[in-house]
Amino acid sequence: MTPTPEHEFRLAAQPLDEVDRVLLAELRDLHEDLDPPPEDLLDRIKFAMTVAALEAQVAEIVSEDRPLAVRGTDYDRADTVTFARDGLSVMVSFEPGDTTRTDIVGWVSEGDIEVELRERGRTRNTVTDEDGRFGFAGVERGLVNFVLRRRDPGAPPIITPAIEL
Amino acid sequence: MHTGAGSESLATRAADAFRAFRDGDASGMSTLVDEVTPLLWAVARQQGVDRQSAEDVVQNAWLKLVEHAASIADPQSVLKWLITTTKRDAWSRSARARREEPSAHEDVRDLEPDERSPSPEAAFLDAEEHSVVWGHFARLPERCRVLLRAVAFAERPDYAHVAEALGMPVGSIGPTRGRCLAKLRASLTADPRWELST
Repeated sequence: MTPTPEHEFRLAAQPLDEVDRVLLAELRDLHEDLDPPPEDLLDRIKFAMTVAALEAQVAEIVSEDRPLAVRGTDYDRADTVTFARDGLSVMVSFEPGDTTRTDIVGWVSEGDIEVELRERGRTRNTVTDEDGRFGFAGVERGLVNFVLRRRDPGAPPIITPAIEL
Repeated sequence: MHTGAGSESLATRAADAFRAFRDGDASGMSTLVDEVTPLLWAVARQQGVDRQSAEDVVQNAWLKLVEHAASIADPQSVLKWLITTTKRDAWSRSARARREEPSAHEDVRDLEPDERSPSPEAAFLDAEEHSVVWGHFARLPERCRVLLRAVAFAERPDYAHVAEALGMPVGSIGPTRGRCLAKLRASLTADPRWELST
């Protein structure tokens, strides 16, 4: 049967049905297979949106110390990471391993800094002591960011890139 | 793949997350980015931009949403706003790239294959061997491919909304099938291979 304009017109005026649903689902699957968005696009968008919403400065990773022993999938997990921006540097340490949670201890080059830990789906806050130390207990493994704020309300917050615990 | 919450449309979920975001609760925005980005990616790519530009365009649309949050009067229009912003930006990049090519490059072979391909359909005609539907989709008029690829990443209550955001006339799709889906159905019905695969 050759499609005619009349046939097409009639089809167009009908309500959407189950075959249309299946067809659109197949079109979706095909495009997901053939031209998917890059895997890290969602994370990058969320990070960029957070930076924009906070009007924050992004810190750079200055150094990453990796565990010497390569154990299973642990080889790419840093246990100490140092970030810096605008004269402020932050070092965070945590234990690599297979446990679901880990404690984080950190040190900031200035005292009296508010530190926000952004985990997946929640945030926690603490303030450094006068030596610049801070800590978070029982942090779920995964990607986390830190946001640091000086007391001066005019100073922009500083956000670190996400690191994998 | 449609993991969204029940009967609510994407547009409504977008409105709710955006309203909360404006009131200082950003927690819903992460889910919204997960749900809407594949649709925006489809819109950008279907305007003929390469993958790198599509990434920039989609990320910029979200950043503009944060930037212009205060000036969006009706949260219910956020989904439409994101689609329109993505489409417009991708279209102007794609138009610029077409003007510059190929004279801006000394040798067309210097270009990545990805940058040369005007649309995903051309690059993936191989897929025709694997899917009858793909072959018929690739032969649809361009405006139909733009519409159908986008609505494939939306939910049914959103179809008319998505079509409108893409600048298609009212009735292009939803509640009736519309001309584009009718064309695809008609050409598939005429293809005996499709009968076998359904």
